[in-house]
Amino acid sequence: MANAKTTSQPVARSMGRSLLMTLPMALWTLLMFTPGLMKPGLNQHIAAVLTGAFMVWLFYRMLRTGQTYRWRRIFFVALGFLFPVGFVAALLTLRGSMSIPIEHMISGDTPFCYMVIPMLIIPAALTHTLAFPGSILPTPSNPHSIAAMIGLWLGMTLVLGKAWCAYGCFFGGLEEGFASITRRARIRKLDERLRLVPWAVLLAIVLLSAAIFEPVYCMWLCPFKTVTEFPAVHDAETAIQFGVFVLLFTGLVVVLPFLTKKRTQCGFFCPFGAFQSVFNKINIFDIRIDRTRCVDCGLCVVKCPTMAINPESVNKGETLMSCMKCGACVDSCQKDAAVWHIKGTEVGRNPERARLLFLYAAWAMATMFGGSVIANGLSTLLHLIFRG
Amino acid sequence: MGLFLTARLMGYMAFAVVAWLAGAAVPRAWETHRWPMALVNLLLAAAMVAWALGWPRRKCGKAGRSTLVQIDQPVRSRRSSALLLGFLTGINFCPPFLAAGVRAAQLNHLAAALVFFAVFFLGTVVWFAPMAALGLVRRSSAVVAVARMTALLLALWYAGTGLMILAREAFHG
Repeated sequence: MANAKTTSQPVARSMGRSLLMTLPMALWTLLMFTPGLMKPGLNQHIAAVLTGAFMVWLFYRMLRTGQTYRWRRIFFVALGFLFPVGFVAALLTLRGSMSIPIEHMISGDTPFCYMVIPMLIIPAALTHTLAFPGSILPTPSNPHSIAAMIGLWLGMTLVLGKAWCAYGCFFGGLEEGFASITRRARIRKLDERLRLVPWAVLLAIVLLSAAIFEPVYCMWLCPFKTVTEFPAVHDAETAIQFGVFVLLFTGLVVVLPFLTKKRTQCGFFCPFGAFQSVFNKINIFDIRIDRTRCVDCGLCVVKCPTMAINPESVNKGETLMSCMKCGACVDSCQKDAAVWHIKGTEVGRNPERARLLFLYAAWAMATMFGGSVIANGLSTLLHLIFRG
Repeated sequence: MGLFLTARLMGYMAFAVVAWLAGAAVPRAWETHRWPMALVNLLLAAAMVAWALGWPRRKCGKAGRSTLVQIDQPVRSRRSSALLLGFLTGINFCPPFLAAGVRAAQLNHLAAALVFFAVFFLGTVVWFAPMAALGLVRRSSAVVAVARMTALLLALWYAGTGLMILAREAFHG
């Protein structure tokens, strides 16, 4: 790491060095996509090879250029747009429809989603009952226990903090895609208080879920039901439910990101994001502002896709706890003042080492989860293209 | 603390009696209809909106500051101050308190309403000591803003529930 960033960015590594440093990730990717290659069908094989190559190439570009946000965004947008493709195709094949009758939902025919986790805690602690179809431990009829998934999520969250929202979540990519369409934001002035809304949504759904024993967010507020699976419309109430989903999706995932160039659903609504923010406090990686270099130009504040930096936090030399470590501020800073950092170390001292340690962990997770989702979506697309 | 909590319990009990009497005053004929429940939901939503928007405080302003209880001033009789403060916080119409009032109004016997509020009181007492320290979080404007936003969202929920009950009543009888 002789040429690691200490003075100026981006770091431009030599091709050989970058390739060498990409090798561990390439091996990890091979390990992750070997099951895809074992599956029968040319589409799966092509999808696995293309996705594996895609993930390794992006990681290589991150090392070669020293930039994070630009390459991560390509992966994340691909993940956001290909997730619904694979998911909906599976639904249509299995069920013939994106809608699910409420009785099927209650009997457990709906996949577990991490968004539910905050709503499970109080009812599970008080009554040992899940306010979501499924079982805490594996059963013969349902081998995918919720405890195992929560354990997996917890492990990743402890290591990466809120970086889940930038490297793991398969919803955020859609709005990041819509936010990337235009070069300049149509709406630039946003109320600072908006970034508190996710906390209010979190508190409201946790209290309501505990009170009525229902995953309130999934039943009423999830914008992504529009492009995945939603309760079948059979009366006025379910029609209103569906209307709310569509309205939230259109507003927060399509229109507002386009107008503001921000991830509005993630930054101003998502309760799971607020929940993840708590884990940023006990996570070793963060982004800091080196006050000795900062000239208060405010570029990092403008570039942050979720308003996780404001002038006050810049003054304190840190980001807010809602920072998801996407790297937008670091890559945009002209003075190298925004830096990757490991807690307990001196700010600005070898930030590239902190970035690399973070990236290896984050990209390994991205490949494991996002990569398989992308491969699945790609395989579906190939199937549609070649077989109709 | 003992005096304060005793007075607070008295406040709870008084509210339980009032809530139950209000529930008992509802004519039996109304029991076949669900619109009174819808009305209660809508009233609760309105109270939450008022609280979230800070209506009482804005209305009273600085002139509305209490001269009866001044915990930050040296007072002649700390005992009466603690009693008064306990009683007033015991009948504080915060959203969860109103929700509990709705529940008490639905109970069949006054004794049940009193027991319900006594248990509710015990529940709040358990949390009272640590929560007193957590009162410091009120100094954070962000926490207050989140609390108000949450109240607005919950008001939306209660209003939606109330309107849906009314709609069902109107269309299906």
